[in-house]
Amino acid sequence: MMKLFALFISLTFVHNVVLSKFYAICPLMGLSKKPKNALNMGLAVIFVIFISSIVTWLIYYYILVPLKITYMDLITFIMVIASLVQFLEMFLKKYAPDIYKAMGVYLPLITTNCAVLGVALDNISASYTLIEAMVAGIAVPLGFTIVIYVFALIRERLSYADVPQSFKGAPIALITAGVMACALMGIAGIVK
Amino acid sequence: MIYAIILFVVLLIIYIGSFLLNKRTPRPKDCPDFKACHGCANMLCTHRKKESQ
Repeated sequence: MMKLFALFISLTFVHNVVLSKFYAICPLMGLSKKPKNALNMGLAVIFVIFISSIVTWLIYYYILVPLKITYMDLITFIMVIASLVQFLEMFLKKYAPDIYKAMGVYLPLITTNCAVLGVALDNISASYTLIEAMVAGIAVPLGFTIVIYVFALIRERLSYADVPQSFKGAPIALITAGVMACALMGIAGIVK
Repeated sequence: MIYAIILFVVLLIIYIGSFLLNKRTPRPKDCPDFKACHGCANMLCTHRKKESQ
């Protein structure tokens, strides 16, 4: 149990998917102008990464390994994630219109979010069990959501700040992301 | 090798099927039109409004 908790803390904060592995920089920059959009994107990412990490783990160990075609993992995971996003969008349209309204526009963006593929591949390369893969499927997108939401709040304040002309927009946003990465490095010693 | 080809074909069929099914599923009645969305700066998003429109 403690091992799973350590894994959760490690993947959420210490080895944060955005600020230490540099996955999902695209939605971090593109969707962080408004905190509400950032939060909705984060919720959609939690939903998809959790399901995709379970599905990809099962496909790898119950189809690719027995058939000895593990070299197909990358292309299989890409196709599985793309199909999963389509199924999820369809399911939400039909049975959960309120959730679809909240996150519908962000679902297609997740197909191009490399954090989803990154979690699926990391689960395999780290030889996680199914339970560990499920913990990773919650911890990683939670870390992403926290970072993108905090980043959006800071960017909202920065839009009112007296920033030099040459630093406005992307430069100050990237510097902010760098400072946030430095801040997270402060807790790097807590969990290996 | 044959298993790899079969798996790829199966995944491709599943993706095309899910894409077509999703496309045919109607949106909820009071849902906003995402084709006019400018919620993010991702140019790959299929909901993003074209610059020419």
